Amino acid sequence: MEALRIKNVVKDYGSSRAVDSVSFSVRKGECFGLLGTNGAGKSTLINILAGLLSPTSGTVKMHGWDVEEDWREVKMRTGHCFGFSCYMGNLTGRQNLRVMGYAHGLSDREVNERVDELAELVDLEGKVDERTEKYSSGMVQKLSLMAALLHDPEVLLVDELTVGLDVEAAKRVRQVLSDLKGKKTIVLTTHYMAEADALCDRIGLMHKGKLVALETPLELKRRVRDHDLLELKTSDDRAAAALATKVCDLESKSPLVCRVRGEQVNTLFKYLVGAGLDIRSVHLREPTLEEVFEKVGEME
Amino acid sequence: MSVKAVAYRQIMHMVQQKEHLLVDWVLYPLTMVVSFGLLVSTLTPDPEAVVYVLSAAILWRVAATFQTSVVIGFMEDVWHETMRQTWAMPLRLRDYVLGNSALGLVSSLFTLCVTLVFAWALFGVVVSDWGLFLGTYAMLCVFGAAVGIMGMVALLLVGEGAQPANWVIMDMMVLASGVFYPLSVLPVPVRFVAHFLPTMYAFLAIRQGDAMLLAIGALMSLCYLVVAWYALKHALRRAKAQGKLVKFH
Repeated sequence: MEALRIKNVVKDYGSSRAVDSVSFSVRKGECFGLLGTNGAGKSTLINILAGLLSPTSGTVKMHGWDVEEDWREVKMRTGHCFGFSCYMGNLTGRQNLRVMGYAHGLSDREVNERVDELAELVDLEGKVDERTEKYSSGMVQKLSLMAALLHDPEVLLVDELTVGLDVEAAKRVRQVLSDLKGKKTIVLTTHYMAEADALCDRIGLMHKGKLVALETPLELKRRVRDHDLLELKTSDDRAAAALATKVCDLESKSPLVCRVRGEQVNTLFKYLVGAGLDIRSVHLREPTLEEVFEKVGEME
Repeated sequence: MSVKAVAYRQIMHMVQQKEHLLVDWVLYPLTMVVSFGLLVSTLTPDPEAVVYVLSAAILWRVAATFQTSVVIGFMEDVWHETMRQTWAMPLRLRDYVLGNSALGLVSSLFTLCVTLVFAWALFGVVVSDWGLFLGTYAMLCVFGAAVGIMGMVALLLVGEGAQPANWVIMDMMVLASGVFYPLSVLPVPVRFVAHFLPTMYAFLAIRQGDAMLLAIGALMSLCYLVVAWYALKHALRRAKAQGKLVKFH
């Protein structure tokens, strides 16, 4: 079932086109990543989805509701999680969340219950009753995630949430998002390749306002090269390299990295074992999304 | 519920600023009552003059408080960079304005009570016609709301550069509204402008005890409120189209 449909969305700022005829749809429960460098148009697009920016043309529908026309229905069903979020510093985390709760029609009791539950989920227990001006950026981002989940929305829009976070906080936030996969429809923007790779079912790659690729992370990587890179450690790497050249091309001799396709893996191992070499480790090097970007850049 | 969200945020934010509250709600009204009271009682032995000038000063202060309170909610969103979060919530424009007006109502009522108590305690000023006085208060609140909404419009259209205008606009209007002096002392062009200010009719109504003049002022205030409302709707739509709502972040 389709949760989100974006059709021919264009956003112009004067003569500059920030989003150029973007169309895609997101299935219910899917985690969809919008990936791109700064200025690619992903934040502009997510602001359009959030109803904060009107598209110059095109339509965005969420569960059949038009984001522009039926904005209130859409916002009631959507949670927004923005990177570098800000809150009223002299209010506590709970008070700031209460504002959001009231806006979504929650009672005091419901807000308090949800806040306690979510604080536990994001590791912010014992801090929600402190003023947010005392929060670190990691705590603010966690609060932002709590705000987005407070009214138990069907769709979660996440914009650069882990930017500027320390490793631990980013890991926790990613874990929460990962746990929500399948339960909520998530659209996230990021320029962290590993994050999109780990979290997203599909990735839309944006470049200069256009959606230049829309595939699963694996399919995207396959686009970059038609072979896998196999890094091997054996009892005699020099001899192993000599044998490997008979089967496949080498990426490098030290460390020994072979470019293998399909059945070549099988053959290579037969050769190595047949020659009495001891295989100590095997590591499959997948293409990174950085490589995907480079490839897309070349195509452009 | 969305009105409650905005009102809660603004009122909680205000309550946290105890020092500002002391200055805005107690010290400033006290200073104003003492200065105007002493000035007039020194210049004339007529007790009616003190009553009139202090009533006018109090009511003007109340109108300015209401106007500031309405627009300050928007400015808080600019200062705290919370514009994106605020408008990502399912807030109707009327919820936002009414929520901020709730702060205006609380602030203006408190200011009214404090200044009236000071005026009575220090200069023996007692309001003789409560109907006219409270009617004027209500009318000034409506006009203050209209001016406050226009302040939001200016911020949306011009950006943060429009902030200073919101602080001085009511003080500018006091000059042409005949609050402390009759209109006849003003130059002709200013007198002409004064006819478009509902505040001029309100203070004339107090001076002459004429409720009809107050009704004219009230009607004009409502008209300005409607105009301001539609201007705000237009400005918000334009800000959304131009991306200004996001850029305030």
